[in-house]
Amino acid sequence: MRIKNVSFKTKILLLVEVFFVASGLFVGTIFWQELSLKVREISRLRLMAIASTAAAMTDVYSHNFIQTQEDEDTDNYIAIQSVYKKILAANDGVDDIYTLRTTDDENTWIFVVGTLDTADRNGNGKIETEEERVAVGEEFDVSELPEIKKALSEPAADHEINCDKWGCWLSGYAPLVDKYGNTAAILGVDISADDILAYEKKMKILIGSLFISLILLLPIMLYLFMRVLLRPISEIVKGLNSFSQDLSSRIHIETGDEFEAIASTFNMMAMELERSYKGMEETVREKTKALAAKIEEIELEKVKDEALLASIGEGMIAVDSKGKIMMMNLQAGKLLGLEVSKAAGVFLEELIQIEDEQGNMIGKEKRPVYLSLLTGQKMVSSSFYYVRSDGYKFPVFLTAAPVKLKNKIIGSIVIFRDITEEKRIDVAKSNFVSLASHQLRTPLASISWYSEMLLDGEAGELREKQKKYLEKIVESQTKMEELVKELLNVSRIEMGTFIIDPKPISFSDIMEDVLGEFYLQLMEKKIKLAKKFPSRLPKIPADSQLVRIVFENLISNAIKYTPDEGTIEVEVSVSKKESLISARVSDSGYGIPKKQQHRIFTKLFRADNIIEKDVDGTGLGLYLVKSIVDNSGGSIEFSSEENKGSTFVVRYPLSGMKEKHGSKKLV
Amino acid sequence: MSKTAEKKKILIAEDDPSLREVLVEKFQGAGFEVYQAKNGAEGMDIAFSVHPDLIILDILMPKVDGLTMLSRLKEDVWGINVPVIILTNMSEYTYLEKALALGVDEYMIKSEWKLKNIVDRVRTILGVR
Repeated sequence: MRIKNVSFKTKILLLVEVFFVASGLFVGTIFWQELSLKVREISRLRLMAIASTAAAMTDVYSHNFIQTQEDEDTDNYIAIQSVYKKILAANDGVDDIYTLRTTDDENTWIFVVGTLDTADRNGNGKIETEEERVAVGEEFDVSELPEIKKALSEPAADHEINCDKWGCWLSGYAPLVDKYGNTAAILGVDISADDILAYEKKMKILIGSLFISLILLLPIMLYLFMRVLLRPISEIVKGLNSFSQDLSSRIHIETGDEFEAIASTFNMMAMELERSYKGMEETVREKTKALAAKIEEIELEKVKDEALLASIGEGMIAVDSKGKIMMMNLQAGKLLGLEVSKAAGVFLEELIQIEDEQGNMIGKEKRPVYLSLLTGQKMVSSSFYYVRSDGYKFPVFLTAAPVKLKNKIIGSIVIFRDITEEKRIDVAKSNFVSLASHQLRTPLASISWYSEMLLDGEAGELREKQKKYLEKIVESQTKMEELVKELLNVSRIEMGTFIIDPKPISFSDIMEDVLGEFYLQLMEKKIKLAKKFPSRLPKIPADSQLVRIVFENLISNAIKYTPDEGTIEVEVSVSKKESLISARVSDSGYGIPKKQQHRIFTKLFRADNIIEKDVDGTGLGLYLVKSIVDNSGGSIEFSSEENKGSTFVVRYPLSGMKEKHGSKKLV
Repeated sequence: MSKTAEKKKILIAEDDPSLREVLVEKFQGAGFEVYQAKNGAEGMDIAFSVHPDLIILDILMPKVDGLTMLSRLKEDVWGINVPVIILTNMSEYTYLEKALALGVDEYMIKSEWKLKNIVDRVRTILGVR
């Protein structure tokens, strides 16, 4: 609760003052009335005291002799009257002292003795006439003196002031008791009302002023008291306020009371708080410093990354999960003829068109970047063309890699480069291969066919020596043919343009086929062949042509490098546990020298021991085998000991080879 | 080599003279009526005028290449049914694929075939002995 800017202290004070003044007035009014009564009561008590004293001084017995007006002049009467007169003189303000007596009829009162003479009845010098005066023995009207009957047993006084034509008065009474204990008469005392009223007024003024000053003083005292109370409280409040802004501030109260205790407790608490806060501040400062250093580091990293991205030769475009461009590096802008700064926020497909070789536009859903966002897989392609902003089309090698954060795809990064030159070289290479293929093979075919004609005797019967020479020519031609074939395959492997076209095939069937091709050579060398093919082999997806080339080379080598009457073992097996299919070719041949075993799969390598033995070979076979196996998801290993033999094992997963698009099939 | 085989007409389209000559000689010797063309354009002229029983076709030839000639043949009412053997040194998969797509009876790599085997294959296709 808050009322403007009036402080709590002031509010309390105002409230208390209002309360005090109001209640003071209320109590004052009641007290005033009560006071009036009390002042009157004092007069009554005085009256009763005077009456009692007078009664005590009165000879009750002598009263009995005063019966009529005649008795007024008796000594007895005068004696009584003189006593009364003395008492009258002694008591200030007393107007009259008199005695009344009841007759036998208790309701009738008669006047007995009075202090007033006929001449001076009221003591004020006023002449009272004979008729007006109540005479001794005369009936006395007590109807206006209600308390008089009480006085039969004890002193009493009227409450109300009585008035007659001479003035106003208040009466008090006391009983006159005889020696038998009977009330013989009533002594009455009148006090002038003027005196009473003056007295009352004096008393009221005195007490009233005292009261009013009390009322007025109380709030001031209260205010002072409150100040004593409130000052420390406000000190505490002030202290708390300044503490909230300045932790080092303390409350200074030296009242020596609970306030001081509160203040010192607070100060201790504040000290603790300040200390722990400072500790915290220190920690925060350290953390902030570390954080700042980290931020700087990150920013540096960012600058480095940006510099890195800007300077890489590849174009790079980062898109968000919806395909909207977030960032494009300078190279990308350069390649595409776009302003890098304007790319951000634009959808990739709106900015960059992509076409295939034939010039068909690729739809959004077929673009590598969307496929990568959709599948979460990295997409690699070299068969697309980007269209520059001026319409120029160029082939790109592009990779679209999804960016994942906690398994959620948040975007994709496309890296691409212009492969116009590569394509050109590719075409040139391809042309060379065609050339080699065509131009080398054409004369080879010519040699082959003309030799065949000669050997068939189409040009007449040949002599034995001619026939022998011609056969040598054919033999060389065959080698040449093989060499060309291997060179072609190697170049295709190296260009990465060969196709892998997996179809379900049986490794043992192909092995059987290949062994069939080499039947004559096996026979010629009288080599013992051991085949181990399990009865039920699963068909696995593989490119039969590639498998054939691998097996052909391994068998051909085994035959070539095994002396006559040696042994060749061929085995195909499946390991379900490792999920592998293996083809093993072992021979009891010359083996490969330990020192050279590490070079066995390198191009054009030929082992020293083999060269000495002058066995044919190009040094391309195992290189080709290794390349094919490596490129199609398989593995090859070998073990060999010189003059004991060699073992080659080719392994493929049961899932087979992965499909690969390209332009050339190996032969 | 049967000299009694009825005279089947074959067309050999081959641009290399020495290869063409030896093929012609071999097939003539085998009793065929042989027509020869040194390029695709010539080959088509002969094919459409003579309507040979079988065509042996090289791929790389001047003027019109073998595959173009083949596709023209396949557009023709007669040509669509004539047996065609591709005899080439082009072992590229793309050529093989195109040739097979157009429809050929055999795709031979020259250096892999002996003349004798080629003749045998032709005889088999034509159903003659």
